[in-house]
Amino acid sequence: MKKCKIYINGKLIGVCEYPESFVDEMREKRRSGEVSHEMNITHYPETDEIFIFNDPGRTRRPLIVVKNGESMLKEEHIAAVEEGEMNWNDLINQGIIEYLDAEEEENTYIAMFEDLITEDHTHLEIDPSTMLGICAGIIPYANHNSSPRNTMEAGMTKQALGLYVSNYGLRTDTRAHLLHHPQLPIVKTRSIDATNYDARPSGQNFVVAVMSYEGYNMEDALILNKASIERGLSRSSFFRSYEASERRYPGGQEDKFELPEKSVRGYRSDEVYRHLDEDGIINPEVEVKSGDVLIGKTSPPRFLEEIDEFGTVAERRRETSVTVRHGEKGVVDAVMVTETVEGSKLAKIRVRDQRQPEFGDKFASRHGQKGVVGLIVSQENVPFTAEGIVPDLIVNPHAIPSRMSVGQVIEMLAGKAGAMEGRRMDGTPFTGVDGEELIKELLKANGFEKAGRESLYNGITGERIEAEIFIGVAFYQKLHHMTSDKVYARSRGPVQVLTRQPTEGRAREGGLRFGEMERDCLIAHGAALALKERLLDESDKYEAIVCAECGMIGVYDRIRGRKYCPICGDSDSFPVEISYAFKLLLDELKSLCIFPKLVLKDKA
Amino acid sequence: MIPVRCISCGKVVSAYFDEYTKRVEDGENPKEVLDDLGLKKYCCRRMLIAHVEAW
Amino acid sequence: MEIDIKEKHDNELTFVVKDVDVSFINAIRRICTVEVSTMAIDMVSIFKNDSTLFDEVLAHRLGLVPLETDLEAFVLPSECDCEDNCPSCSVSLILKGKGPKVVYSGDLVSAHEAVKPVYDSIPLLKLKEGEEIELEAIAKLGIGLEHAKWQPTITCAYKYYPVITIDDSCEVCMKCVNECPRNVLEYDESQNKIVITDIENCSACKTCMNNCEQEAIHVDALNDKFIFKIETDGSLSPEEVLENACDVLKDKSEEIVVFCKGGAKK
Repeated sequence: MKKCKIYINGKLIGVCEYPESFVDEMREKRRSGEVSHEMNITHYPETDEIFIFNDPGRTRRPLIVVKNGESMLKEEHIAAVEEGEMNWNDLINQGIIEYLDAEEEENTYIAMFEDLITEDHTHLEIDPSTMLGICAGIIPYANHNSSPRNTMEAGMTKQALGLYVSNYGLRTDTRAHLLHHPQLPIVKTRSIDATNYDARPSGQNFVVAVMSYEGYNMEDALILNKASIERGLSRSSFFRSYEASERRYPGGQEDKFELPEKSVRGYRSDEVYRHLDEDGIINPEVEVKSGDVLIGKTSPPRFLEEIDEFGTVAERRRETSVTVRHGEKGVVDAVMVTETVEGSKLAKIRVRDQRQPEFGDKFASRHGQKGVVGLIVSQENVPFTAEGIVPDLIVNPHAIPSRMSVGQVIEMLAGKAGAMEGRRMDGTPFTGVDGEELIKELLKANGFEKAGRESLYNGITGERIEAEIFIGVAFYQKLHHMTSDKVYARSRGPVQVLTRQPTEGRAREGGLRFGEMERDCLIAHGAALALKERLLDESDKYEAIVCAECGMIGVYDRIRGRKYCPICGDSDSFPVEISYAFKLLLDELKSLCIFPKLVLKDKA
Repeated sequence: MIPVRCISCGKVVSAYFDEYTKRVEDGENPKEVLDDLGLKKYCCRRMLIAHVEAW
Repeated sequence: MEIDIKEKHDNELTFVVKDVDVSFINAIRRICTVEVSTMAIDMVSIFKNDSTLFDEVLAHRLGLVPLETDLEAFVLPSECDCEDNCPSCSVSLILKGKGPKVVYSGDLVSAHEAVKPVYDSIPLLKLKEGEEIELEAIAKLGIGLEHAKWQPTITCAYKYYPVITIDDSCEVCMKCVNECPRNVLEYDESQNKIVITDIENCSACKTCMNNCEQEAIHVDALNDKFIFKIETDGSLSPEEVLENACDVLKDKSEEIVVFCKGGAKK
């Protein structure tokens, strides 16, 4: 009879004939304590395999054991835990609760609530919201959302700006963001309490209206109220830290922090050094823009033996100052001068820039409803209610039906009810106390329509908008994708040494890639010369001299002003326009001892 | 620090903040304190309820 | 045009306007919000700031503090003849403090006795032991179009005067009375029908219409009668704001009149 293979930590160690009873026995031994609680065992009947894992690093979660349709956690256990007579470890040792890893969960049938247990169930959730992790636990009413939206929000919470640590003033992180006026979410979950999210919140409660406005919020764009931004909505600060140290080189030479003299190699203009103090380091509270020097530093020449025209060794130092990154500006926040481990002087500068929301900044609610600012409207043009409430944010109604993020709709109602009641609402998925019915009661008790709709008036014409508009309070996060970090342009600039093509990336002042699909578009249009211009003239065009006889690339002696072929000597050679990348290919072939012969013909 | 004004409408909510925190700490119901201080709109109320001290 | 005051206390004013067009009342609302000038701090020279607040955050907070405004005594900086800050277009306020304490708006010392913060209890910053703050703020007149700190109004909105009509097909099922969130409708026993008790409180949410199976109740509005609500932050009183809004509207109309009479400004 087919035997079942047994693997421990991925290694095949044996077989067994009766897998079901083997697995049950091992589980009983684990629950009674005979085998370590860290062991997890899984049986796959389809492939006749049993996996046993006890290695470190698996994510495991606790579940209540269910035997014969009954939960093993009884009233007397709960009472004992409340009294203090039993604790968590006692529950584990008695086999009432066990830890399961992802592999063993494949063999389980978990009931969400005690009254839903049947004969087939194997385990019971301690609380249904424990099946979500830390980031997904922040989402209120997650059980009303479509699953991919919850997944997206769990990823975007990690990109939200907030108060990341309380000692940001003492730290020199390369990049850091700080939200000026963070707020606690009015609609919270039990996970938020459990993870102390309230100590480091990462967003603000916005008054949100769901309506179309002038067509500027289509395709997930958002419309913001200009006056709200001016009063501090989503204002943040961005910190960047620069550092430099006086490195010591073998041979005794070392870098030096100083105001570089005009004679050093690579001296920039006078203007960029104007903020430096005598020690070559900038002072705090100075306003700097891109290109300004923060730490003036000179280094010894790279190759010690540098003989100039007169035959003497020239001691020309190089300029290696630290400048503000291209495209950024700010105020110097802090200057720290200290020592490295080796004992050389180390300077760290932190530059701070204030970022107000502008076109292109990305915002997201807690339900995967992300969007980019499309329009900033002045307050008198924003629709208003009779009470004088003006929304901060206008979201397009098309964003709701296809995404099925009903959690957002309920959060808006709950936020409004919570603001009127003066308390925070519980939106815990599955077991939240403040459900829809209660929210509707609260809204009615406070004088609002149960479904959250209000009459809005058009700010520009003054007339009442015919339909009642859904308006509520939701928690929105500002994500760290901001226009100021991305906007970039280049006409000409640095090229790479190897390929002579433009460099890559905004930080290196690079070009934007004209990729394969863009090439296909130009081909489709029949714009042959436009393609040639993009790929050759504007990139790495190179004029090579090719020998007519042997077909190899020749040499141009600039001093004597003559061309010759290294193989054939003085022979006919013709200039040919190729890309430098092609010349590089020829060089690489030559290095493999392949003779790449270029056969030349007259232009037809 | 509490923002000086309500972000949506501009009401000077920070002027009532000290009194609000003191009365809520003393045990009064936040809803009644907000009603008593004259903060009727939910945009102004959320400024006080959701505030957390950062600076 | 008839105007009746409905409610008035502190800096709030609610009144009912009759015989005007919605475009006129909207124009008044827009001008009240963004084109009536008021005083706010514009430039801050910070000499010493030891607190954890960044300079720009502190300056932002100072700009939002509402200042009592005397429109007769000052002119807009764009209309002033001076080059920079002169006493007819700007006021200087000094803030000095030493920790440990919370610095409030009441600690701002103004150079002009008519221009001072409306509220004394706005917390500006916190100072720990030994930390100091010393700055000079210059306040100027400006309008809300330029920055929200110069908006004198908080609530500036209106609604159409609601009209609720109940047909004879009403079966007095009381659904509309119970569902109305604002208790606008009531059951009158003596006449055995639904009557409207608090029409001005109706928010036109149409809950009663949605709940009536007989479609007997209709929520409508008069198109020439409005309930206008205005509340200011204390820099000007609501009456001053409305007066100035009308002056601004009059000046704009004057320009068109001048143009029509052939004296167009080049």
